[in-house]
Amino acid sequence: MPEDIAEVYRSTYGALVRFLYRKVWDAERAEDLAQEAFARALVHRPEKARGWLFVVAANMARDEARRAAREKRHLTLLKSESDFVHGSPEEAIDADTQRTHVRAALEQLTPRDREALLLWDSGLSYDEIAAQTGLARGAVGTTLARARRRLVEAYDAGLAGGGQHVARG
Amino acid sequence: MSHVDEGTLHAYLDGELSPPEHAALEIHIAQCAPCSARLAEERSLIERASAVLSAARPSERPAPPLNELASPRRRGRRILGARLPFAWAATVVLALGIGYYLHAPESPVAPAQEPKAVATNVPAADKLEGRDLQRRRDVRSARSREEVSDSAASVSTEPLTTGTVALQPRAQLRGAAPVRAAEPAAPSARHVDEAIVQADNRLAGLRGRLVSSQWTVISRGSARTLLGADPVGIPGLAARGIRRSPTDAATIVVEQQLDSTTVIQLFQRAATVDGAALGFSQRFNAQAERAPAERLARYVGRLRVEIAGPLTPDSLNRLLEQVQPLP
Repeated sequence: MPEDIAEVYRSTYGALVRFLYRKVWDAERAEDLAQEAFARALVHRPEKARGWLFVVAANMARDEARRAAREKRHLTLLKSESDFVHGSPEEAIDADTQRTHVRAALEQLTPRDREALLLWDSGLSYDEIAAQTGLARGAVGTTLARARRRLVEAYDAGLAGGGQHVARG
Repeated sequence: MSHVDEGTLHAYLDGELSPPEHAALEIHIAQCAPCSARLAEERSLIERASAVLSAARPSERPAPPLNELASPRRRGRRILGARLPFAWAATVVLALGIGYYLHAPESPVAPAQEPKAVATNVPAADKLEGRDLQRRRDVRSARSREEVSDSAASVSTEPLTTGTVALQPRAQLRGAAPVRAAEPAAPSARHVDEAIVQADNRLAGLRGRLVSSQWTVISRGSARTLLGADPVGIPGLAARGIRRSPTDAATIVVEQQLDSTTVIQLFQRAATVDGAALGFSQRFNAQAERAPAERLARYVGRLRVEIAGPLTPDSLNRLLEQVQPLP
């Protein structure tokens, strides 16, 4: 139903962009892909639009990652991100550094842990996460617990290794 | 109840336990100090993880209107804007194919050049294209380092005719002037200046030949001589060059770059009343009602100017409205 998609669009667009951003690490590309996903939803009219959108988005992000790997654009993408950060240069550098650490930490997770965590952070329910990742519903909590722990540990380790002594609290 | 595992604690904190599970866990926590302590730990872990993730988020920009996403044109535009190397490659392949088609001796050229198009009433979806155009410029500036340098490279390595070649599919869609616009015979008349008219078949024939025959680059002075007036262009855009038709000395084309990837062509010649062209256009006028225009024309002073480029009719129309004699 188009009305449902309009509602999902209002409530989920931001989360979908964020989800995609943490996969492609390019703000504008994330917006493009999110809009593309919604455009497809308008055509396909899936019953469970929200879950469907995240499945499509995850697939698009995966294709994107393959393409990026082929073109070896990672470094360029990282550099271009400062374009999208508002505020003083110092803040921008700081935000850039943080983002790099978060990205590095996320990459230490297993793909399924990472996916579950990103989906949860995007507002999906355990049921939706289970449907998308193939996890048993009862395993989602355990998966998220592990993902969160590893993320925080890897992030802190990255900060320590990166020459910043004070752990962020 | 034995001690609660961490997965259940997270599910509880995430609000994802069923009501009975939820109640049972709270009863247990109230009686079990170790589990209560772990619950506090897990809660702070969740907050910590959430804070870490939130450090990696794009700056939030408003979502475009949903109906804008439904337009296939928008999506095509996006692909053009975002994946230029591929778009150009596709363009070149397409153009080579069409070029071959147009020049194959036995090919049925005539049907392919039947005019189809040009309605001045733009479909509602296209009203967005002006915004798209603006957005595209924004995108261009935002991506300056990465994308544009790529695409600039791809543009500069192509011969100038690439821009021309890219437009060939449109040549087939051309139509002839609708009666309303072609009727005023005095092109210098003021009201004619604003008339949006349709490409005529005389230029259409020329476009088919652009693929192989080089249009000679000429100076602005020569162009003025040929036209009997200053050539026109879109103010503020870089001019890539002025070229003369190899077969019709009275026709020139001014090519201008809208951005590093988009070349706009302004075909122009001194306006004359061309009875043959008019009759031709009348015949196809009925067909011209529905299909959107790919190429538009108007009179600017004494010149008849047609615009062509890889943009929507609405965008081309806006550009055409800005055309002025080049300084």
